[in-house]
Amino acid sequence: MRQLITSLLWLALAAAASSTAWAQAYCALRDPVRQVYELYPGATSYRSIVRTVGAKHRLIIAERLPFTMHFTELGRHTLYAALDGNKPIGLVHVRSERGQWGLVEIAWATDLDMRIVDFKFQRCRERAKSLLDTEEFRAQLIGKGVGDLVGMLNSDYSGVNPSFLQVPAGAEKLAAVVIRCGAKTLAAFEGAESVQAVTDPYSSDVRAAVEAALQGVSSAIDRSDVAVLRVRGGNNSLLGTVVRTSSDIDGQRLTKWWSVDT
Amino acid sequence: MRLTIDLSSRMSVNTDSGDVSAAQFMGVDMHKVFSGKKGDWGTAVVQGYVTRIDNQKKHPGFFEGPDDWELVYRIVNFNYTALARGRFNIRVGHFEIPYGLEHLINTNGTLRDYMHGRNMGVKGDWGVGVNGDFDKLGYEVALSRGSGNAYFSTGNPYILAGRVGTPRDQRVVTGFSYMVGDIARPGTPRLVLHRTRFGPDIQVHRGPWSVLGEASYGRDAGTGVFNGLVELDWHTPRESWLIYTQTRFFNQVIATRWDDAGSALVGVRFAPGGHWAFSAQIGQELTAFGAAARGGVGSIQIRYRL
Repeated sequence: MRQLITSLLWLALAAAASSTAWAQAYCALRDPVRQVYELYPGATSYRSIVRTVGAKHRLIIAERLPFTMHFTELGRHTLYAALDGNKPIGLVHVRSERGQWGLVEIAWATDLDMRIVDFKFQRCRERAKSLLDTEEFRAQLIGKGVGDLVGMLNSDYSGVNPSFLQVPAGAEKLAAVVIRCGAKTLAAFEGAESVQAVTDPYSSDVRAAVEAALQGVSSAIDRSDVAVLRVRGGNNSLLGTVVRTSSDIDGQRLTKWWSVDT
Repeated sequence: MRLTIDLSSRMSVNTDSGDVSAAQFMGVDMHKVFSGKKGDWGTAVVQGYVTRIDNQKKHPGFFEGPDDWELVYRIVNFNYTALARGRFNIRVGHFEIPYGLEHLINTNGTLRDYMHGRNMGVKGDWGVGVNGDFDKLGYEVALSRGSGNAYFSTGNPYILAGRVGTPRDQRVVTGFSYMVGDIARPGTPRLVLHRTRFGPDIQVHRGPWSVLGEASYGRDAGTGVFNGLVELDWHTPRESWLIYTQTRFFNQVIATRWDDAGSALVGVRFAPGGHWAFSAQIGQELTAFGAAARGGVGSIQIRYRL
């Protein structure tokens, strides 16, 4: 009886201090090393960014998508920034989605415009995996954003819409799993408070300020390819802004990253 | 950084004698990745558990008796990862000995277990090792103290072990392991037991079913040993339920002749969310070495991670 009381006391202590958790012991965590370097062969290393995905993020995703994350998916998640030297060249995030025979883990590579660059199955027990692990299938997803992916699903989002996504026979269910997984990944990024993309970097105020600064001198910057990301830290404080610009100079594309403090 | 408190309570019943025993575990589980301008350069994992056992007649050697408290280090190590794009990492600290299925499926703190206890007598050890992942294989090799939970050098124990295998996330995973060592046996005349083991392991995953197997041949102080395990398991699509069965066989040269023993068990684990895991397992020895009595054990465990 003493043993039972001791056990119950320990568990009561645990229940009293509940917070976001990850069911897996941390010694079992593995970085998707192979996937990062397969998705970005030019990467020399990668950097982990660990953030909590909580109930409020689940609601953000629910506002953007007709489906959302399961409560068991909440917890600490890692985003991997692939680096070439010191320079970030892309992002990788591994998400699990419920498949027919277990959790399907997919490593998603995205650019900083939150569009899909590529993906790799990390763990998948579905027989149809080999039907989708092809250049033809992946090519249909590359460059797509959240809205494009949702449009590839059928009306109840349980399968694919053949008008917008070509899938080999027998792989329809797994294809829907892949698409839902990708849409949630992108929506989670866009809903993340730590990195927020500025959707209209050339607002009328900015245009006026730029024109005033340049005083009629033309700029080589390609305004259609400018990305602006605001980076926030604790208490939602603005840490700084990252700006990507591209210019065509002497026939060569030159891309620069600018870090601007507050 | 990831940090959580991990609590669990386990109760076991010897199905022959009716003896009831218990174990309580309260620990910290911490995972920290260190990063610099050129990317991640190391990962630290710290798992230290205050452990209480009651009426545990068969217990690990670092407990002083069947009723005892002990601070147990499950995993406490740092893995330096800044070299060669993950192909050559250096691990220092207390880690699981890289051998067999346990190297891929960490069973620390769970009722489900594999063959480390039978083959090596220790599960984790203090030492240094190298590890890495290539496109088609992963490996880990380690040299460790051979003393298990506590670091001590009496008798000059050591373990040299390694495993090489195909990527762990494929539908079929195979590997091969080797171990040689003088493993600490405090209280015995020679203070250590010389052991060697080598053998293959395999995992085959098909839909909700998995078949896992491991076999090891080697010697204990010069006498032949051949051990093996086959597991069949099934899980639900969300993997909240896991049901598994294991059959284990043990062969050993005793008085110049091979003798054999075997056991079977069935277990279930229900993890309904991010916090709780409920487990139950019942095992029975089917045959025993010589005239030893056959025993059976039933266990239940509740685990909570904050």
